[in-house]
Formats: sequence, structure tokens, C-alpha cells
Amino acid sequence: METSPSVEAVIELQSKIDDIFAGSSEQDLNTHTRFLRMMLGVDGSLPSPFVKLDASHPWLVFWPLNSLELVGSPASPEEKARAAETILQLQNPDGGFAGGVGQSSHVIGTYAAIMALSYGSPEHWARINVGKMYEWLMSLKQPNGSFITCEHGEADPRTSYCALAVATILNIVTPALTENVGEYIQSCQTYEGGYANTPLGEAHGGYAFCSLATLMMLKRDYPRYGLEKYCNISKLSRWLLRRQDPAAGAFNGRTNKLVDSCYSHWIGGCWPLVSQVLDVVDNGQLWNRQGLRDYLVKCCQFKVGGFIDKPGARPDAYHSNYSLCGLALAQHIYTLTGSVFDWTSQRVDVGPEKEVVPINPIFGIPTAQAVCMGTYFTPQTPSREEYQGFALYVSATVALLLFLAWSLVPQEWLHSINVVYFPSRYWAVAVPAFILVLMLYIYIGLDAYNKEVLTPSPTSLHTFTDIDTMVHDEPLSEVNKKMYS
Amino acid sequence: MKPWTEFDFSDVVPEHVAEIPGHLAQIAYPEHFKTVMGLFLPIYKAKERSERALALTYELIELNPAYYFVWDFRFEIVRAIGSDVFDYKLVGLTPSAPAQPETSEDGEFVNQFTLSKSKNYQIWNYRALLLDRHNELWYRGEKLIVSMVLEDDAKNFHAWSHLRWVITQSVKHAPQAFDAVQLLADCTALLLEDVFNNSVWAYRFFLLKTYPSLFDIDEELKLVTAHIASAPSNESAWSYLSGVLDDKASSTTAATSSAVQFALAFQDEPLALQFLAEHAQENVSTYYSLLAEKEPFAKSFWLAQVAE
Repeated sequence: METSPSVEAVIELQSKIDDIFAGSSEQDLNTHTRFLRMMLGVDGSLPSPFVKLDASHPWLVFWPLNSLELVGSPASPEEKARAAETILQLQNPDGGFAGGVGQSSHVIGTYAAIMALSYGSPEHWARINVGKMYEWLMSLKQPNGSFITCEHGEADPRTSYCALAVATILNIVTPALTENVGEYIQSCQTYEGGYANTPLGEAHGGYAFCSLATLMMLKRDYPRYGLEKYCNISKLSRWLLRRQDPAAGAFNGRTNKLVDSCYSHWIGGCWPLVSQVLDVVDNGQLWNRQGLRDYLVKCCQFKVGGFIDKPGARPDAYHSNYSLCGLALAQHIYTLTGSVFDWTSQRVDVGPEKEVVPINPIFGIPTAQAVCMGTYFTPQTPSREEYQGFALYVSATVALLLFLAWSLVPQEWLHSINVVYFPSRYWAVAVPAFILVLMLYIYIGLDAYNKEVLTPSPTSLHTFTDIDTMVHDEPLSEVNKKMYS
Repeated sequence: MKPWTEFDFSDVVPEHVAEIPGHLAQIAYPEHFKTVMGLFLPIYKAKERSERALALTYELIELNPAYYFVWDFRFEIVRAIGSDVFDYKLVGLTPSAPAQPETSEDGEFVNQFTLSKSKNYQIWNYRALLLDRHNELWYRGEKLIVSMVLEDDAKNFHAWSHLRWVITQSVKHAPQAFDAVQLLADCTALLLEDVFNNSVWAYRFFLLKTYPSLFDIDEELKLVTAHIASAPSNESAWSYLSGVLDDKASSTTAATSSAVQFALAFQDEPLALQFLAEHAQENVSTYYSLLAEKEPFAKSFWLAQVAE
């Protein structure tokens, strides 16, 4: 006959198991690799409860793949190729990407698909049907400037962000695509300063990030334009400031709600965007970087790997990715240097843990990664300056050759090829000689001018200094500076 | 409503649903799922709008409520076979027209699903898609469903969003559906229940903008200052106060100066200092300096506002 273990024994065993597997602790970031590789399904399928995420396959690939890169233990090139093949399988004939094989296209999944494909190679990128993608995105566009997620789907700033991020990376942004987008996003800013899913809604961290990033993508080469034109920066930045819990250090997504590690990206990610148009320079003390870092490192790391939303929860790929993005934001000050792809980052010391790879704050993937894919889809047409420089170089060379021919080639040879009309070669020597002598006179003249005109005479009042009061004459500009500035 | 197992699918060639070898993040599908999805995919591709297709959508939505393409297809089926009548028996209302037995079960499914999966994006969008008859009763029914969801989860973002959408639609298509004064009174009562519920404050602002005749700045001022006095650290209330005062259409300078007078009594509170800095006529830079002192983590930010 079997005997059941005593209640005490079960409780003790449970507490031991909890101690080993559950709970959060301050630990090395490398401890997450195993969990993330498991989530990526490198060596085996995800367990069957993941059927609940069967419409989110691009995300299932993107989150762990991106997390592994950020944490500094990237997937192998072979695994990245497998990821790209997985994603390309989801491309539909209409141009969009599906949430799973056999499903219809969805713009949120398409965003994750393109971001995951940034880990592929040009060989994979060539297989994206860019033309169809543009047509499909345009088919989702609504007259008010918003985009719907799919046929009969909902529209909110999330979809605007996903549509524009895809179009920006694939370089298919047109005035028709961005028409009214700024106005629509503007209409979603609430009285609190944040952004809601609809006009007159409740401000929410997720919609705030998507709205700001959308505005920055309105003009690829002038990202500040959208923020300057369509956003009440003052209200927004104050709302952002209040999202950080002074005690916990973490962000909440709405006023008077609980903190959650994913808002490290949704709210934390707003700071590098908005600080590009604030009057105050981000010197590392604009918001509480240390607080966010402490919350993520001390409270959100699950012992056996992965990040959790708050202590007591279970880890998942979503919170892992956005916690790591949060760390990348806390560890660096980001500065926009050109187009949406051009960001520089400066390291801020917030803790002893390793550096997370800096991200492009608009796309949420490593900076270099976004540049790489963006460059592939940007035809390499030379800029105006390059054309001008080349023309100048050619004409200068031709002028030099003509001068040399005129001055050095014997006259008979020139006559023999029927070149008879040219100035006397006397000038080929005389003009340079005149210039040289003129320069010499200028030097002598300047020297004389300094000595005879600018130098005051020894008896001039300007040369006196009263030794008691140290009062002496000064030029008017200096006087003005001292008295009025 | 007949379950999918009671329909005949012998004419359907099921699709093979399985993990793709070599691909990443594959899911070990349970057998039951493979069977249902295997039958659904060919029917979905053939756009077969039938009762049995509808039965399959129920099953799949139960397995994964986030199947947007199943919801979309379901909507098309319901449209085509005309079983799109909501049943508000659940919430104590009778439908305007007598519904067929199947359809009322269908409505019940949607209602039950809303209550159990209230954080799902698709269900709310689906309700909005079906709600195109512009019938007063339906709008009231939607509000009742929202109230039931909010009873369990008073800050449910989707439910609040749906409520705002329903009211906006009713204003356009069935103005008699709601009594605006009653809506505002209900909102006032909700604030008394939980003054920290930011969703209610946002909803109140929505109501005032949707029914501008309700917007009496002095009344709002009275209400919000009373709430601030009882809980001075409530960010929702301070934001709302700024919100109504900054609304050019309804606010007055007299209201602003009386609010500033009120806020002067709470200068220990950073939110009050921020309000004063934004709305007072004088000492603005002093308030910003005080804020920089009280909130050292945002020192640079507040000091930069002083310099402006």
C-alpha cells in the first residue's frame, strides 16, 4: 500500500523547489542565455500551452533573438538563418506577414517579422516583397491617418508605429503613406500629456512610445520634425517624469497603476526620443536611470533565467526583451546625429553588470543592426555635395593641364596641331611672379601698419596703468562685456 | 449551438498541421488542436461561410482567443448567414427583435467570452464590428456589458475604451440611448468609490468633451478640489485639474486664479508645486526651484524649466 507524504513534508519540498527555481535575484546577465535559447526553440519545440501564442510567431522569434543579441550572447549565424527562413515562411502573397502559417497578414506581426529579419542577411532581405508590402500597407490606411491591424481590425497608434517602422526600414515611405499620420497621432495626446489608443482616451505607456516613434519617422532625414510639429512636448515630458515610481525606480504605464518591467521600454524608450527636442541636455540626470537599473537588475531577474514583470511573476520572452531594452536605455545616453538610423550612445555607469548592446531607440533593435538593414534598402545615390565635389575636381584638373600645356609645350608643337590663338606665354611667368611679389608687399605693408598706426605712442594715455587702483584703459567691447553681461 | 463534432466534415480534405523541421520557435501542437485547425484551414481558404465553419471558429477561439484571422472570418460568416443579433438576456435586457435560438446562443457566447477574456483585443473589436445597427437598446446593452467587466476589473483599458466608443457612436446615431446628465452623475459616483482610478478621471474628461453642455468649469473645480483636499498626492486629480483649466473652450481666468489660490495650501506636495509653476502668474521660477529640491531625480529637468 502506498503512503502519502505528510503535509509538512510536501510544504517543505515545495519551499525548496520555490527556492531553487522561483524568485528574483541579482545575478550575472549571462544566466539568461539558456532561458532565451529555450524560448527561441533552438533545440526543441515550445510546449503545447504556447498554442495561445500561435498567432504571434514573428514575436516568438523576435523577442528571444533580440534579447540574446542585447545580452551579448547572440545566436549563431546558422541559427539566425533558420530564424529568417521561419519568418519568410509567414510572408503572404498580399505583401504582409502572418502571425502563423496559413493565417492572414497582420501589421503588428509584420513589424516583428521585419525586426526579426534584420538578423538575416541580404540573401533573405532580397526575398521580401517590398512592392506588395507597400500596396498592403496602403490598403490598411484610413482617411483619418490611422492604420488598421488587418481586414476588419482595430486602429490605434500601435498600428501606426508598426506600419511606419516597416515602411521606414524597407524605404517605402511616401507622402501618401504619411498623409494625416501626424494629425492622427496628435489627436491621441490626452489632457495628461501621454497618448491613448483613441482621441479623448486614457494616457498609456505603450501608446505613448508608439506615438512618439511614429512622429519621429514622418521625415526619415529630419526625425525631430514630427515631434516639433505635432507634440505638446512640455505636457508629455512631465507626464513621462511622473511614470517613474520614486520608491521602486520602475515605470508604470498609467497614472496610479502598478509598475511593470515592460514599461522600461515603453516609457523608458520615450526619453531618448523626447530628449532630442527638449531644451535641456540629457546629462544622465534627466530621469532616474539608477532607479530603473536597480529595479531591473535586483527585482526582475528570475533565478533560472529570464526577466519577470514584477517580483512573484514568471519569466517570459516579452518581459525579457523589454527589460533588456530598458537596461540598454538606462546604461546609455542617446543622441540623434542624422536620420532615424543615426544614433550615437554614451555609456553611463549605473552598475557593475555588463554593458547591454545599445539599441536604436526608434526600432528597439541594436543600432548597427538597423543601419545594416536600412542601408540595404536605400539605393546608393550620391548626394548633391558629392556631385559638386566631383565636378570641381574635374574642372581643377583640366585647368591645371591647360595651364601646363600653354606654358611648357613648345610653340611649334601647338601650332602644328592648329592651336594658334592663346595668350602670350610671357604671362605664364609674369602673372605668378606678380602674385608672389604682391604677397611679399602685403607682408611688409602689414608689418609697417602695425608699427606706425596701431601701436600707440609711448606718451599716449592708453598705455598708462594707475598702480594704486590698477585702472587702465580698455577697448569699448571689453567694457561692455564687464558691465552688462 | 451545435459543437463542431456534430457536423459532417467528410467532404473536407484536412490540412496537415505540424511543426516545420528546422524552423525556430515551433510549438508542439496537441492532437486536438491539429485536428481542428486541419479542418478549419481548407474551409477558411475556400471562404465557406456556413454553420459548420462557425462551429469551428468557436473551438479555435477557445483554444486561442488571439486568432485575429479566425475572428475576422467569423465576422464574415455571421454577416453572411445573418446570425448577428446580440442577446442581452444575460444582462437583463430583451432583444428588440425575436432572435432565433442559434443566434441568441451566439450572442450569449460573445457576451460570456467578453466577461471571461476581457483583456483580449479581438473580442472588443468584434463587438464593435457587430454593433452597426444603431439601435438604442444595443448601445445600452454594450454599456451594461462594460459595467459588468468593470465590476471585476475597474481599470480595464479595453472596457473603458469600448464604453467611450459606444457613447461616441450613440451621440451620432441614437442620441436618445443615454442620458448625459445621468452618465456624469454615475461618473461622479465612481470617483467616490475610488478616487485613484485614473480611468474614471479620463472618462469624465471624455464626457465633458462629448457633451459640452455638461461642462461647467465651476462645478468641476468644486469637485476636483474636494477630491484633492482628501488625497493631495493623487496625480490623477491634479492632472484632471490642469486638464479642465487648460481647456480653452470652457475654462475662465477666474477659475484658474481660484485654483491657484487653492493649490497654495499644498506646497509640500510636488504635484501642487508643479500645478502652481504651470498656472500661477508669479513666483513661477521659485516653484520650479522647489520642485528641483523635492525631486532630486529630476533636478536637471526642473532647473531647465526655471531658466526658460
